[in-house]
Amino acid sequence: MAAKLITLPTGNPAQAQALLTQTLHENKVLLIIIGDTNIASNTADRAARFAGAPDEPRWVLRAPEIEDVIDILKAIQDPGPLVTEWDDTLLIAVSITDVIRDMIDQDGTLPTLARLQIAWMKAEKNQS
Amino acid sequence: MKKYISLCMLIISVNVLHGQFLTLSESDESGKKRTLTEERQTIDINSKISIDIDRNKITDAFGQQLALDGSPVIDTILNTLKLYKTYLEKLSIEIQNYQALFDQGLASVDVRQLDTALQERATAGLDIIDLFANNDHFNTRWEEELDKFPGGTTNDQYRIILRLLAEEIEILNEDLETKLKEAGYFFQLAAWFTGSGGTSPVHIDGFDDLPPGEYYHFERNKLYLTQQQQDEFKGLQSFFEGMDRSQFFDKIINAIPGMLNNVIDEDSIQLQLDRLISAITNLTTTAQAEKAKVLTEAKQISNNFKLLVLDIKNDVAKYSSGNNPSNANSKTALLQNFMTDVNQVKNQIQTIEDEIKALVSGIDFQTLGAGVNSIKTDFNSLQSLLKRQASDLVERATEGIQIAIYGRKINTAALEISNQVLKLQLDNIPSNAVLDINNVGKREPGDLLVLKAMLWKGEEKNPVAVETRELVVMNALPHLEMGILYAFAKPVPAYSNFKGGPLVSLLYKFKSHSLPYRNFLDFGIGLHAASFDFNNDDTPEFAGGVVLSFLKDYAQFGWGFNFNSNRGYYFVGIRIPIPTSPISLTQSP
Repeated sequence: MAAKLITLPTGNPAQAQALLTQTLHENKVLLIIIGDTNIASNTADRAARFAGAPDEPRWVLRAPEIEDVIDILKAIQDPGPLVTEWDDTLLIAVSITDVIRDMIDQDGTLPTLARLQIAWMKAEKNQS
Repeated sequence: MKKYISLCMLIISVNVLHGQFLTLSESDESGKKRTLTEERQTIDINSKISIDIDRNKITDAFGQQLALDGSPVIDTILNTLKLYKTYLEKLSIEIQNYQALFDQGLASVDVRQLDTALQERATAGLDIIDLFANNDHFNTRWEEELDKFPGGTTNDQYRIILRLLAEEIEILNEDLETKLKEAGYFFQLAAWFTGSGGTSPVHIDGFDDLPPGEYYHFERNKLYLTQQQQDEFKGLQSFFEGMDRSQFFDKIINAIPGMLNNVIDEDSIQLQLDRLISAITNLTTTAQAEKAKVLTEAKQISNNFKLLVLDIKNDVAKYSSGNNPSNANSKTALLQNFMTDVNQVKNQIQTIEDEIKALVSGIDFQTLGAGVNSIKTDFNSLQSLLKRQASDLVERATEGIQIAIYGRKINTAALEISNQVLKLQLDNIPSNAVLDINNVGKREPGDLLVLKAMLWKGEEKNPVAVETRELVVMNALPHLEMGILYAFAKPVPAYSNFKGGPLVSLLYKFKSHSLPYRNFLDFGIGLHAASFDFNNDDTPEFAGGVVLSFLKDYAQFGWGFNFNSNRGYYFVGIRIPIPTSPISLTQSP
């Protein structure tokens, strides 16, 4: 398991919500990967390869059960708005100030490494 | 690693897109290296010069010329290159800024400061990604590089983008080089050495077919007395024999009067003027008024000339008398005064020349009748002679001083390029060369090495671009020198007045790349040996001790011990330019 990958627990919504809330409050640049598919799991692992050194703010958070944390996800600022349908969303890129800056749809394919890089950069750019 | 080095080179070169083609660095005999950045700079006389040639800048310069000549393809390539390099520089700077925070510890960094650094870096990175959004080559390479990414910091990931951009720049450069080659551009690097023996071309490996020069190693440490010093030493003894010490300084500045005496050919000019006045007086003409006018003006010129001669004689007397500031401290002031006087003399000559010109142009020679043409011709030749002598005077007076202060100067534009200097196309230009100064032959401090990089197009007579670098050689490293001078020693405890005698010193000279310092101040510290006659028995005793020197050893002082009379002493000494070896303020024409 990648060092900078947080996976929310399944079957315990309260714990999952608490962990997500805490992570969002911790000045991190986040790629939040949603779902329990193989693609979601692989995407999380691939994204975590580019999370940088332990001290750096990039982190990957995987939420296998979207229902457990959907209210918290919906509460994240989305000035775009970029996310219109949470069920079709594979990944959101959240800035250090907790604003959604990029998203990748679930289309049945694994995002390329370059696409994941762009997601990281957009989250860091923190501008629409 | 190679890619990383070329990327660094590219980033460094971004700031000086239109800068120098040559990067020079000096390796001296002590093994130290220094980069030579000035157009004209001093180097040590035995150094090696490493020459790095920046092909990117040469390509840029050629490309700009081709674009100026109206090539839209080249213009587009150049503009694209410029844009890429701007993006490269921006991302490079932002990576450095983030690295500074990372090194300081991100945990301790304020979140707003961190957010700003992340934003700036990401913006610079995304700008490049947007630029290549539709470039399959770039995007394929990016995916490949990310796939191979072994892990590391986020900066390492941004450096991948930098590397890929550098690759794109390289591709464009190759394209540009091909087009420039087709357009017939070539490059030359030539070198010359200028010393007392004149100017000669110098071989640079890879850039010409010239034979290597004669090997000559300048003897930095002079642990013996040169022939000149030995002559000076002999002269010192005869100089002081029976000399009235009140006139001690009278002979110090004896080089100037010699030169001033030769300023103008007084007898010849006066003779010509007298002959002209006589010719005008004896002229048979009906135009009496015109004749009187010419005669008056000619006499005026003659009078002014006599005044000029008088002034020069006064100057000679001034620089020959004991009234001059003859201590070493005021040497620079003396030179300045001398130059002021030289300019005044030059102005006087100029005035006389102008008067002759006005006379010749203001007189209606036709009305004076036959036999007047030779008078007009004589006036014209006199004017030319004065003009030449005025310019010779200033040239001779300034050249000696300039060489002393700044080293030799030449008109580099007039240097002739040997036909053995190779015409190199862009892909044949060696990236570096080493020029060992020892291989340029015999040389002296103040001599000049000139390097000239030239970009040519086809058979055009003038180069597209030229970079000239002038390197004045000097004895810059620490070294030892022997010197002789006449010293006045005061025994301690005092029991007699100053005793004079010759003194030999061995001096350590400090490192300096400043030519004015070496030629004027040039502090030294060392040991001395002297022979004073403390007990007045007409037999010199042996003495020795320490010595400090300054003003190029013209002034020295120190402390010593007379071993025969068992007394210490302190002394001051002045190196005297006696007639056998005068101060050379000027160079012989």
